[in-house]
Amino acid sequence: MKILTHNMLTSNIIKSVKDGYPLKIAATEVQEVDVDFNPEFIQRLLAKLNWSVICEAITQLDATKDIELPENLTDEVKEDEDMLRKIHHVLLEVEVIEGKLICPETGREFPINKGIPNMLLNDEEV
Amino acid sequence: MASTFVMHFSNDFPGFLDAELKGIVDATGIDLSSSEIYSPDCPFRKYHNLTLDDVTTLCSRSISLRAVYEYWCESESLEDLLHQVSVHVQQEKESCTSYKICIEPFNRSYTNRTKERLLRIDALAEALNIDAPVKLSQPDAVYSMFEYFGPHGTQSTAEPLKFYFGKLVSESGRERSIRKFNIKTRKFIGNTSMDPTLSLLMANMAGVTRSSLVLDPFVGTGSLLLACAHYGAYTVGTDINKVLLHGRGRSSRAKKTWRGRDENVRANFIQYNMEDKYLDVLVADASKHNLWAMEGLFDAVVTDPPYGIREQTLKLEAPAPDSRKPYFMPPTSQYNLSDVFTDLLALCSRCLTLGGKLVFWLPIFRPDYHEENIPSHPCFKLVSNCEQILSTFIARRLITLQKVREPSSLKEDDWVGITNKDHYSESFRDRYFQISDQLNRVDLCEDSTGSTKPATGSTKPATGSTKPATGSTKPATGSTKPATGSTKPAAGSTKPATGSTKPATGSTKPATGSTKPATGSTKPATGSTKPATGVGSNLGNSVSSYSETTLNSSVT
Ligand SMILES: C[S@@+](CC[C@H](N)C(=O)[O-])C[C@H]1O[C@@H](n2cnc3c(N)ncnc32)[C@H](O)[C@@H]1O
Repeated sequence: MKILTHNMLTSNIIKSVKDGYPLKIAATEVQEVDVDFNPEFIQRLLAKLNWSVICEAITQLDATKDIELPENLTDEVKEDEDMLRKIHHVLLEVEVIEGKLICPETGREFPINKGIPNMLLNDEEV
Repeated sequence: MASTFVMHFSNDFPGFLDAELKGIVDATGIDLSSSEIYSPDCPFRKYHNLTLDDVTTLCSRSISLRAVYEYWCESESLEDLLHQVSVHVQQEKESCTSYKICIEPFNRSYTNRTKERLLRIDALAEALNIDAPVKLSQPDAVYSMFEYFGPHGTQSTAEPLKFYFGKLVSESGRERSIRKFNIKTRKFIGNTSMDPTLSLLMANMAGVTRSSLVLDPFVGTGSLLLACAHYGAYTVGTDINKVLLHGRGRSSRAKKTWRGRDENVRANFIQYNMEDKYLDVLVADASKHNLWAMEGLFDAVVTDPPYGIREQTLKLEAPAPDSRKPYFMPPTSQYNLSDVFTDLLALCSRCLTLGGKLVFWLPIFRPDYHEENIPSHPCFKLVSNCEQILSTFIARRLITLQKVREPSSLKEDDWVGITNKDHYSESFRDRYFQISDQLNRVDLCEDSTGSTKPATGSTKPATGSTKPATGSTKPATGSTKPATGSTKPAAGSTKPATGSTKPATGSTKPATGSTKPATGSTKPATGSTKPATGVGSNLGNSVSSYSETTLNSSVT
């Protein structure tokens, strides 16, 4: 699971949950991959994603906790190629292989195995 | 510099051509509005005002397109055409180092030695009068004459009704793209992996681009996302079947029993060298829309929803499927077919960007079909609707909807006239088995007379879809449906319990409804109940050769 995907997911599928966002990440295995840089795609993503959730997510993984991102997503940031490359790396090149996503309200855990998060619930949770 | 070209389109899925071009126009901005079309089913079309760049782009994208030619001339008589060719050669001082002449007939076939064909080539060679050797492989120039012998499925006319002539500019990449995604050589496949040609057509209908973000909520083995990635999109998928996404369980290949360790969606992306375009797949229930944190996330949704026939249709209430059980074991909670589509539209009204497209398959009983059966939603307008006929009674329609409003802007009134009536109040699966019995009787009747059997076996709509009756690609009439839908004559809406006994109102054009084959269904019951193999193997998707076994085992 990429940090990009984490940014898009909620646990608001559970009955009692209000926002379920952002999910906490607990990773036991992380992998880094190479992905071609496409600045236009990153810019389009930035228009949709939740910036502060990206900043918070990277603090939860050893692989990214030392990466520094600006607190505010200004227009300058969005036009700065070095910055876009950094964001590209964070969003697309870091993947949680084993671990879990945790609902911020209920503590319900969603396992991530072999890179694939399992967001299914049981009968009584829906 | 803009000029005029002749485009030669494929006959594989002619009913899908206009819908595909529309998607490509939206994605690329190429203007195809200035065209001359001799007849809707004529695969040779003339387009004005295109640049060579436009042609290159079209050739790299279109799956319907076979090749593009510099337009020289056209005529309704061969003699006149030959004359025009000779004039053109002189005026343009045409020259080349080697050449070849091709004849491309439609609704008639030539062998290499058909006399007429050879005579025409000779006549053209004379008219061209080019001072260069003929070279059949990799010539410097290819000159082609196109001949239209009337609509497909009719008796060929004695002489072509129309000729075009042109010089090859570029062949399209369709063959290469289709071959690239061949399912036989693909790492990870399933019973409902989508045929590559259709997958690529869907990606084009969705108008994906190099920076699109695309979702397939029923991702399965990812065929549709692969096609989108081929045109540059970044892709995300969800599927409720954990066993499948983890590449475990039984293989869908004829000779293998278990899936290998690394058979999964990502492996397919790696195989085709597109791993960059793979974002994630998640085990998740597509009916839980709040899974997605923001609205307007995806630029397109391209999907083949579960029909409950080939693939279990599951909602969360059911335990995740066990792949060792036959596919047909009814899950404890069936996701009603009409729910699937209502739900899909609701999901997309939230998670698509404004202007984004949803492309999906809708299975139908042809005798029951009405345009208002197409799921609708006030946030969407219908862009295209193409039919792929699978058997006499069963077809699927490839629907493209475009999001034109945000759900937040809707008022109560906007829902008036949105039917979404439960035209599959029983699950499609039930209806399917309900009529299959009758279908078999039809089969038997027709078998015994040795005459026209319904085209069950073929996965390609060889006959049906090429019929001009596929006015199906016609533009978005449905979307402009007035809000007074409720006053519509009740004909379609009060569907009878058994679709098959209904008269043949199903065909897309009411006017020509009488030519429909639906009469068979009312024939008296003659015989036994042989399993509905033929029909079934058609329904899911096109890899029937991989999946026969599942189907049969479940029917019997
Ligand atoms: C027709 S198949 C799609 C096949 C896919 N296009 C491919 O190329 O392999 C439908 C898929 O929907 C999945 N499915 C069924 N119900 C679902 C649900 N409620 N949420 C998500 N996926 C579901 C099934 O597991 C199946 O893989």
